[in-house]
Amino acid sequence: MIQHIDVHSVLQESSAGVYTDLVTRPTGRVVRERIQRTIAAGGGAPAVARMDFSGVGCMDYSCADEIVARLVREWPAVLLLRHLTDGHREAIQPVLAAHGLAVLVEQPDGTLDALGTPAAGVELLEQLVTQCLARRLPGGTFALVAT
Amino acid sequence: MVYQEPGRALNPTLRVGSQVAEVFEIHGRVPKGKPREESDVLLPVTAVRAAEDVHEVVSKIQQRASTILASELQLDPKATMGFAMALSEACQNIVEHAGAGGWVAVQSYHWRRKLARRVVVIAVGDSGVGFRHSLEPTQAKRFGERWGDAAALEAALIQGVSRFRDPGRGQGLAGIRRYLARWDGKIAIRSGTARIAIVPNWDDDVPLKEGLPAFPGAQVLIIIPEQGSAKR
Repeated sequence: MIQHIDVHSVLQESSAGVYTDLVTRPTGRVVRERIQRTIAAGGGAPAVARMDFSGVGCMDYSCADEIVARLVREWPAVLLLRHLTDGHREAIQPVLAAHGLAVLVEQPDGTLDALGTPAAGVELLEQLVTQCLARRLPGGTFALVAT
Repeated sequence: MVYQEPGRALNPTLRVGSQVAEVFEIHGRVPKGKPREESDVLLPVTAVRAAEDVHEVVSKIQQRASTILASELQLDPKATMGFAMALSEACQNIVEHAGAGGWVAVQSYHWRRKLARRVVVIAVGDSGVGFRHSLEPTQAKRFGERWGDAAALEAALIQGVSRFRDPGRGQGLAGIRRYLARWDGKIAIRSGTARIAIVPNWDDDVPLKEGLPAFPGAQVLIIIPEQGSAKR
């Protein structure tokens, strides 16, 4: 149900271990294609793809668009991002907002937050609740049920 | 001015201004005796030809400049991260659109007279096709008779238009604009016979100049001033 993707590892494999920053469209394209292949090899389309950004340095707008926005546009799965830095958020937020898209972000305490267009984010949270993959917590926050 | 192999033609240990002054034919009165502004090189003149070069630039600037940006310009960590992103996007314009190589340099200066503050300056240049030529196939018809260098710069910087029809394109300059708006910065782009700028309150530059001597390619200038105590 939930596919795990270590973005830093994918970046390292894509660049022969040279890069730690997600910058430039060519790099973003290679990383996205590798992620798509990884998911396809994992047996099809998961309901949630959890992308872990631990160890990823700078991310620019082009890479945010090429990886995150394109995956959201071209994929039925909900993208769940974790270990995002403020810099990653700064790159991803406007790119998603420009397309009316959203992803979910898993906070260190396990709660879920939306990034991108607010209305699209609410839809994603409700979708996960409907699929019994997330639940509402007291106070109106959400958390994953399955890990 | 078109440098042949700028990475080799320019000496990274010298200030850009002093090297450029040697090769420019200067008309009119030269302000000799004006004290030179103190500067620190955060990134020497570096050739940009491919995506790999952009990675190198971003890696170097994060290693060398983060401390200076935070301590001397009092930029908070969010601003230093945005700085690397802005630098990356500015350099990518060369790789994606210029059709020729270019170069980038980053220096910090103390603008004692103009601003009484330190600033950090990103200068990116290329000898490629320029904004008008790059955007002409997709934008000229929309602008009609207005089409020219100034309209091309307006389309790219103000309207966020890209030569690619992909809806995700055009994010780079838009991102740089957002970053500069947040940190009270300035951007100016010179291409062809025009120059466009987004001018902050501390500067007296004009937003648009036309009828300039033709410049092949593009020059992008990004200036971020030292921050005051205001929270953002």
